[in-house]
Amino acid sequence: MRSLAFAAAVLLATARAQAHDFWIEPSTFHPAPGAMVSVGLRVGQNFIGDPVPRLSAFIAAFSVRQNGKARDVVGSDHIDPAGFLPVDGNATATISYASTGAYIELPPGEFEDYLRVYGLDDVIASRAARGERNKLGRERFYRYAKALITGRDPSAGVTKPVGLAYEIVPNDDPTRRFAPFRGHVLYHGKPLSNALVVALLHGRPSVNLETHSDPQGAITLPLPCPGIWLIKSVHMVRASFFASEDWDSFWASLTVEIPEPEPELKP
Amino acid sequence: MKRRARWAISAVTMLVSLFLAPIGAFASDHADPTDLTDPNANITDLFFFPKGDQYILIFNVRRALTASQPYDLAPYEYRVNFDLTTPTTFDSAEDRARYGGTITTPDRLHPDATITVRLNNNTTLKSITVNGLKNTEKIRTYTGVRDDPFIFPRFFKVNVIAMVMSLPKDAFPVGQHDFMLWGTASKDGAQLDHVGRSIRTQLPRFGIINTTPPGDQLKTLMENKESRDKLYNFFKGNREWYSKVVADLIQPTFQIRKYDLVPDVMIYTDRFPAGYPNGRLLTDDVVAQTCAFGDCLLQEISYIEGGWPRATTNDRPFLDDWPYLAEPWPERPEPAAPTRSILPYIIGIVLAFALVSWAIIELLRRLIIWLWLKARAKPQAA
Repeated sequence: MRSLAFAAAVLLATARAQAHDFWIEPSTFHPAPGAMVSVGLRVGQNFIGDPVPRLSAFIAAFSVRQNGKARDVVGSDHIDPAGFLPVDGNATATISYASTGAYIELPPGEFEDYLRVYGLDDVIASRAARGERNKLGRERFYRYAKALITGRDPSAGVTKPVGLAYEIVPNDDPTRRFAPFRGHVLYHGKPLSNALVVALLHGRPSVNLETHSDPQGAITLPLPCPGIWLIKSVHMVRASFFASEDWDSFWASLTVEIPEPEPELKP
Repeated sequence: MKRRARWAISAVTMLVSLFLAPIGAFASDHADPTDLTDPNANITDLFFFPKGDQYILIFNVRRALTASQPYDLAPYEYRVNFDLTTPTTFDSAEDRARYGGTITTPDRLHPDATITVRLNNNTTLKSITVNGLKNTEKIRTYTGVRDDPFIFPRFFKVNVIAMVMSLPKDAFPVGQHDFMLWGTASKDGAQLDHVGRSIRTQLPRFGIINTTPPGDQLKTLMENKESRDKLYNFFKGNREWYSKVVADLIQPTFQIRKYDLVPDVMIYTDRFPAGYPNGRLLTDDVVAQTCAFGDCLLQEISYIEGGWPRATTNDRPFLDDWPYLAEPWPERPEPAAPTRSILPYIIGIVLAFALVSWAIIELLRRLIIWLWLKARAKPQAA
């Protein structure tokens, strides 16, 4: 963790940044055993999102892992919520979504603004070094979203990567107790250092917690209060030589409900 | 390519089965597919509402009845199940509007109490077995032919076989506010039909749960949703217009909708006034109410088959007192069953297809032989 900041301020103006966060928003984070949970996909800023209908053509994987078993999240195209799943409620379940890549072009100024907002300074530096600052931002973006559904018992599966190209993996099950969020940022299964990771609190868009991953990819976010949190990060790499785009970006998100602190025992 | 071909074959297979499966079932609670072939098992209605210190339970079977006795009722067992303990909440306006409430643990639905009725062929009560309720000696029962109370033109001027029960409120546990109930019809131990909230299992997409206990229905619905969604997504995702047309045919009729993932039980709570979908009153225009929340098939049929304006009350007045259902319509012969069969047409089409296929293959075979002989002959000539 190279830096840590807690700011109660409005996030940077979204108009400048054309990019949008993407996350999973289930109908409930605390379903009763056997209940049906609808799984909404959201795109937006500051943890305020618009519904994203399901579109199979854009889905590379959409599944839930509970009790060590993985199954597809089913749903109908063009419909929000994008999927449905019955939860057994025995242990914390992990919903994961991976998109196929989508191409976007941004004017140079907007592209650089967006890179700055998402902490992609190395990309800015790389473009500057190559004299590309006035070049269109040609990018293919991939979305990797996860959400944790609280179960009766903690799940060790939550602490294991689900195999997304870019993902935030908790060190322990964060749905169990109110504590700082500790985890790792993995890119293709390997720790990624110096990645900007941001935590946003649902319903309070001004609450913005930031950190960078350390050389082992580890992050710690001292979440100040319970609630539904979106923890997110973006990683960008130069595209392969034959690609039509110049950059590939990987958008990782994790939505989780952090429980209330346990009441202190009085002597 | 092979994968695509496999997909296409499985999609066509699924499509055919999807369209054929509901044919038997299309018609329900009044017209469950299962029971068009076994009308005595065909449940038509379930009503539940309070009346003074009683709850009135009405369970009807045998759609479109006009024939005279005797009927063939003895082999059938009709049962109403009460789940009095599975938690129900009423916070969701959407669930309350559609289903009367929210069942938080749908896989735990189970009968805490049951009332099992058997009838003689003359509609008199053969036996009634009550489990899980108290003061059962105070239960009042009526069985017989009555007017069909369903407010729907197709079933005007016809009767049903009615089982009416008046259950004292003290038959239930003290402080019982919430009830979930469903009815079943069985023969030789096999369940043939199911009814919960009105106008669910009569819809084509729900024929699959007619023989499934409520606790398992969500699983069944999910399994079917998965396969039907895949089918819809496949056809919708192709660029050809006719593929999209197939998808658009599947969506309204067969696809399991986002608000369908709920077991089919009737919810009644005394926290709110009685009336569909909080239980069901005889006077409830359930067709219109169900349409208001997303299922309009019967509403459309009521316009197609009925007059103007659409009937919103029953074709005969209900009684203010026992047994509440309207007097029966006079007996008359039931319409003769069709004598024509579709089988000769199917056989003819299959034979014609086979013949054409054989002719094409034979032509190709002869062409290949002819080409081969010609090819062999050329070098010899040279």
